[in-house]
Amino acid sequence: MVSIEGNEVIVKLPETFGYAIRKEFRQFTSKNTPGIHYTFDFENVEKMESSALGMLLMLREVSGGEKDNIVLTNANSNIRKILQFANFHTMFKII
Amino acid sequence: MNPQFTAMPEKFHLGYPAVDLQHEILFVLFDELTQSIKNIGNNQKDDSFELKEIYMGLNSYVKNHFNYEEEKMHASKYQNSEAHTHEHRQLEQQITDLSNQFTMAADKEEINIIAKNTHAFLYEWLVQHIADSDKKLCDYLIQ
Repeated sequence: MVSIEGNEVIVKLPETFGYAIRKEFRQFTSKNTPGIHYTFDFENVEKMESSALGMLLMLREVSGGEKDNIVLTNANSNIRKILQFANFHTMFKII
Repeated sequence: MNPQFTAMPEKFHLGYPAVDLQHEILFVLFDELTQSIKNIGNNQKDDSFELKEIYMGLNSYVKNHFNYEEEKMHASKYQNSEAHTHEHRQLEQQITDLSNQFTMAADKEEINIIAKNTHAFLYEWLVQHIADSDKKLCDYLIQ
């Protein structure tokens, strides 16, 4: 699920992004240090729980609060719509 | 609303999907705060987010959500825009004050009291502001 290359952490998300992966999410984000960039790959994500939006939000803040620091990529149209409704396009780099 | 979005009670849904989802996220942060306070009380450490992270998330997302609503009010020439925006500034200030109190707290006991105050304030705000001011705004936007 997680690969680390220098300061880049790449997370391949599962089919359901939500509470079930919270423990793992916390394991690789709680040791957060400045300068780390995260990429979350949504290619496999079909369902996203609101708890996942909270997780991303708090990670964004503790990792510096910069829009470009966390990239959300490969989301399908439904997930993109959710991210848009959440106004996350103003807080994260969505590609 | 999406069935996997369950943090916000059904009665707070206003029928404007973006606003409903943003409120849902505020309820998620409220739930995170609830869990974190429980852990302090039980002296437990699990995979919950820490209070510092929750305060940072709240500060940031409250501002983001208010900006969204204010842009909608401006674009739609909403007649109660000034009063609603004033309410936003007051709520923002209260969240900032509570965050500052948390940052400056001297010990665990004080942290616990401030977290509980934040919890009570947040619930009161979510209930009142959504049921009153935001309901009026969403009814207007949906028209």
